[in-house]
Amino acid sequence: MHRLLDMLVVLVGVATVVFFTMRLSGDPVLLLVTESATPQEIDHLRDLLGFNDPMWLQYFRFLAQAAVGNFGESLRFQVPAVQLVMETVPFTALLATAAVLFSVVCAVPLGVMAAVKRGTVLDALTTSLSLLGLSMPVFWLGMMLIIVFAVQLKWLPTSGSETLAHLILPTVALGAYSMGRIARLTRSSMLEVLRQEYVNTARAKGLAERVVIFRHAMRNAAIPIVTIVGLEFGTLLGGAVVTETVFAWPGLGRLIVQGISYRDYPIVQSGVFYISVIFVFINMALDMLYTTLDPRVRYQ
Amino acid sequence: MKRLLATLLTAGLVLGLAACGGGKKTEPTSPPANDGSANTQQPSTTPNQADGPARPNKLDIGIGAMPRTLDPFFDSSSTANAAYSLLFETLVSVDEDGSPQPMLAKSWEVVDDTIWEFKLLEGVKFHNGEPFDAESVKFSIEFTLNPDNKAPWAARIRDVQEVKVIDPYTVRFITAKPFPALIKGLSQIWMVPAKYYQEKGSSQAFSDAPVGTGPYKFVEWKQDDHVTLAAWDGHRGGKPPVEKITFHHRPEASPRVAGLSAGEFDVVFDVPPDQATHVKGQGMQIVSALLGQNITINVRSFIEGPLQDKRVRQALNYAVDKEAISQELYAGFARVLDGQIVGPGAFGYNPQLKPYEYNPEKAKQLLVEAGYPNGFPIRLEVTQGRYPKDKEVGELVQAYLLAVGIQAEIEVLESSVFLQKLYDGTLGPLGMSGWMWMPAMDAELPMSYFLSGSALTFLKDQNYDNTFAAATASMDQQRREQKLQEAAALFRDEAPQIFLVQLPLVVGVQPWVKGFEPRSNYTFDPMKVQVSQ
Repeated sequence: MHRLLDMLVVLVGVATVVFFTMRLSGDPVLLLVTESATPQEIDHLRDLLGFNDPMWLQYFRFLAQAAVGNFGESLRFQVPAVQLVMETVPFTALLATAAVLFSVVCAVPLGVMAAVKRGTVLDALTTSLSLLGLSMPVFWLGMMLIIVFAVQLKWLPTSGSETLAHLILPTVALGAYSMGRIARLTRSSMLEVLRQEYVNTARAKGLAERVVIFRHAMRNAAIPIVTIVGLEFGTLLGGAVVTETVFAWPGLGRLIVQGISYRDYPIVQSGVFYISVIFVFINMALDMLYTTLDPRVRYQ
Repeated sequence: MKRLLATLLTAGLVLGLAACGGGKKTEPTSPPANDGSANTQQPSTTPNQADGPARPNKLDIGIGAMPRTLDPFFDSSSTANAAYSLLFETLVSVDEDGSPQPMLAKSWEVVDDTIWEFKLLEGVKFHNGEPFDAESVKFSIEFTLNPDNKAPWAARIRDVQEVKVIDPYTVRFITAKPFPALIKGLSQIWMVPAKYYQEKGSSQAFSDAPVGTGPYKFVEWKQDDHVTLAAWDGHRGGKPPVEKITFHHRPEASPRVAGLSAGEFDVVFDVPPDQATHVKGQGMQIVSALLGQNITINVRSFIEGPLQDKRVRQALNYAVDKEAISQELYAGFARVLDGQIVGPGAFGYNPQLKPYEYNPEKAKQLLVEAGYPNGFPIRLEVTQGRYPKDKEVGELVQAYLLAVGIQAEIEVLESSVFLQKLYDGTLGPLGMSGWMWMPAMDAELPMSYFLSGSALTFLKDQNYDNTFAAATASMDQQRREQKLQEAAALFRDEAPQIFLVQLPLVVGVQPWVKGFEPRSNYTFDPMKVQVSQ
């Protein structure tokens, strides 16, 4: 299919960009040796890891191996990079899903009500809550949550990932931003829709208000909302680096950032590559979803 | 109207949240503002205890970095020592004064210039029952030295040529040349069981089920998350008092300290010094040690310009108030450097040397003598986030220099750029860096970085080179020490650094944990630790 080809082009493009930008920024071997390493030892390591080969050779070797899912061994852990990435996937997926669910469950009803009850206190409350969600830096919010709920109230654990209770605070910290965005978008999307002629028509037909809102208005308002939710989900799957670091959540974002600090190329390459694959799939899925939501949309 | 309402509500919520969370920017003296909830500071009522069931006899330790493998040959970072020292032991240990103490070796002697003989403890076993003997030593040492293995600690025992088993409890080290630093080098080489290690076949396999002679045996580990160890009753010193010890990986400092405050951790390594008072106010014990790490501003003394003049370099040292830096940025836990890279405890430390006092008048006077009455502009390269408070230190130094007329312009370097410049020899003319050493080290290694031929050097002085050479040439410990101390005095005088501070290791401990005394290398004596019921 045409789409698959598109996907492939994107993936190769991403891989290329990742490959070259990592190498532009510094010598990884220096970070792998202790201060007392001799120049011979450093060079020996460089040879062993293939960094002495010409760039084009490294690049094609990389592409060829990537095609079969081999991104090499992590320079830090001597374990296949893909394996390390895969180990973080369940954690990142769990957190991302929880955060998106949390934000949607909070934001959509709020947004709908704000639109329906426009101009009231509820509307104002929703707007200010959304604004808060959008403006609070995740790091700060995460720390606040820990201090209040874990240290002072002792209702929840401070950090880590052992139990389901450990999921709560990071979900809220991470979901706050999405919640803000989705709430605002839902509200404006609903407002837009409620203004439409067919809504009046539906009311004129004598349909219950609830039916008008949920069956007719929301369906149409849903399209931009679904897009944003999908994109947010995709972003979160890429690993919420700050949240994962604050809460010591063993996810992909944290793994990649650590990989960058240590110039652990295989980790960064496989991690970023994996994220792009996910993103591409989500986009595809979203496109498919549109055809159900909006019958006017068709694809060849 | 609605807009106003929304604004007011938002403002109200923001202020409310900010108030109840006040502690985030860590005000060291005031506790978090009370948001109305009942219990803020509870000095003695701590979680999961009071008068209920007995406190579980275990220790949960929050630490900033995990070893990347439990195969002790392959991680030489100081935080890894915390876990390794519980699982494994070495032939000798080094106390905080720098003197070698017997551990698995009960005695040793220098037979001649290139031969050391060690007598081993008898009857010691590994966790799996395998006996510890000369074969274990031979294997562990040879494995470390084997260039194919690329073991980080090989550099510390580089001059060992051969390990000879004389009898099951006697080992001889043959060195390529006189190697007085061998004894301290051996304090880093953890002993592993030869048979078991080879049976396992790979480093990964050994790491998945490590076996040593230490007081704790391996229970489980989840890479980069936690390591759990259990007290071993077969240990030669007896079973340690605490049943179970778990290290939890918490790379970010604030949540780590929060874990202590919330009672989730019994001990937390690396409490940021400016949070120590706050933590103490919650009823915790604060214990500290000095890390084998300094933060200094290196001065490139051999390039054209004002820095070539010794008086200028000394002026730089008089201009900066190091005590103030220690107080301001490290809550007084740091130690002001006295013109040497190493501190008390390292062999070759010169106890006669004193820090350059804070004397801006003298600094100005020296600058005038050197011909710079109006100071001069200069670039100061600093790191950010690489060493604790590094950027802040740079800014303070800049301010002090400005006060005596030197216009230092700060340039912040990213970690990998910094490393590149350091190894290239292009860091500077004023360049911040940390220097590592340990009481287990001689001053020799760090001091060698400042020889004229070293790529990392900021000093090219013949006198220093010669004195240092005299030190390394002799096997006579006394003469070595004397020469190293002489070299240290020269170093201080030549001032190729603005000597700043030695960094602290601050550890927070719950009130119910007794006897927890951390050392500079992140280890502690588990036999002394108790969880009171």
